[in-house]
Amino acid sequence: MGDVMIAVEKIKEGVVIDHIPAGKGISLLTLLGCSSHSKNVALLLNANSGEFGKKDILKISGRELSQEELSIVSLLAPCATVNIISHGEVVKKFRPELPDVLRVGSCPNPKCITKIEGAEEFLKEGNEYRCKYCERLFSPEELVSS
Amino acid sequence: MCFNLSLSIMLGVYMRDLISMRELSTDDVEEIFSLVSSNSLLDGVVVTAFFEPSTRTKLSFLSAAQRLSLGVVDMLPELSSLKKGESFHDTIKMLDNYADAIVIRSPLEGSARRAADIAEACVINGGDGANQHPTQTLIDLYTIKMRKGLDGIKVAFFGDLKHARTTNSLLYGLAMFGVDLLLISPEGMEVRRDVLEDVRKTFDVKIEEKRELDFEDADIVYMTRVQEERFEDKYMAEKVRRAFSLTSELLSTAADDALILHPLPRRDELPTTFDSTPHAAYFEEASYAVPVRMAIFRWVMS
Ligand SMILES: [Zn+2]
Repeated sequence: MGDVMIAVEKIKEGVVIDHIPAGKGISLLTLLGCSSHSKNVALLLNANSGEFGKKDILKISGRELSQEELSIVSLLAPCATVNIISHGEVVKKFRPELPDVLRVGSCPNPKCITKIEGAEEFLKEGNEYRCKYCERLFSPEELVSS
Repeated sequence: MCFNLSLSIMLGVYMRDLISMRELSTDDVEEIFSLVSSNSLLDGVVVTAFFEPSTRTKLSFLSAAQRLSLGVVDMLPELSSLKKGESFHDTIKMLDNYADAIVIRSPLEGSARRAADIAEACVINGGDGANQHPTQTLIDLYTIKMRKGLDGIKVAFFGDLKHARTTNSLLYGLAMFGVDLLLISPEGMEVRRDVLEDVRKTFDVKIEEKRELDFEDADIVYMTRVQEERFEDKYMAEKVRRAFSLTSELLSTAADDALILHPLPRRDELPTTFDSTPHAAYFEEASYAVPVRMAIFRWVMS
């Protein structure tokens, strides 16, 4: 028997996030809050990808991504591409960039004032982020995994 | 502080916060030092909001404020509404109604910056966790400037450099003046990596780290207390404390006219036998606490 293709219906309006590093799709789904959304969502795990070997793909129907959500994608999956789908066609394709100021994520420092106050804000320094409050430096991954 | 800047300049009032040495320039520091000898008094009320115990820092701030004829209101930590479950945000909002300046100390890092976001009053960081203690740094820098000047000197740090917030602040303060730094600490007690990298990246200074007890002709020996409460193994703490105590033999590896600084309180890492020697500068350092904090009030409030 040859390869079995898992067919996932094409979406007409929405977003396809492609080239998510294999294994990160579920985290991204959770962080984007898709599971609690009433929209139609498909997550493909370990899809074949020439470039990456394996990749995850997330398809969200009938919804756009906010700037904040794009920040989450860039933090968790810096190599992912975001495809905006309209009338069944890709109308825009881009790789979300790490923003200069980040207001999502959580400071990994347990003694940071944001642990009781919220109001997280991180400022980009090279490829890392400095917490505006405790002034410590973190990798983008640490901010979404803590 | 969210004071309307253009309005405040029109009124001849220019209000600032003092949160971290990371955002001060040498000009700012020199300006603060120039205000130490000023005779000007200030109008307004200072609230001291200490969310953790402190004697010296709080008393010297209260004394500085009173000498400037400022009114003072002290938030007693046991009466703090945080204890009754009020949020940090609401507590600062409330204190802001009473104050033209708020001096805040908290075990949580970034508390002063957060307070400055919330309050219209000037906010002065009186120490935020293991992060920064800028007013102590200004006192240390002022002592060094008065006794040695800040040009072409070398400062050796000695002790637990990981947990002492005075170290983090002072590294920035000295590096901005181009002072050479020698960091001697026990294993596991080194200066925080991100602080060291940030200082190296920002300033063009010579920084050496090592474990061997040798001050290499340093002009200043800056001591910190080994914080035993941070050690799980009390025997290890005792061992480190003994190894990192000052002796005459060790001091002889510094310059002949080297000065010893210590933010106090001390334990036996700095034996009292040094007190009567010309090397002891720590009581002089402590004597600048009030005049430098008066200068800081002048700088932020007027
Ligand atoms: Zn933080």
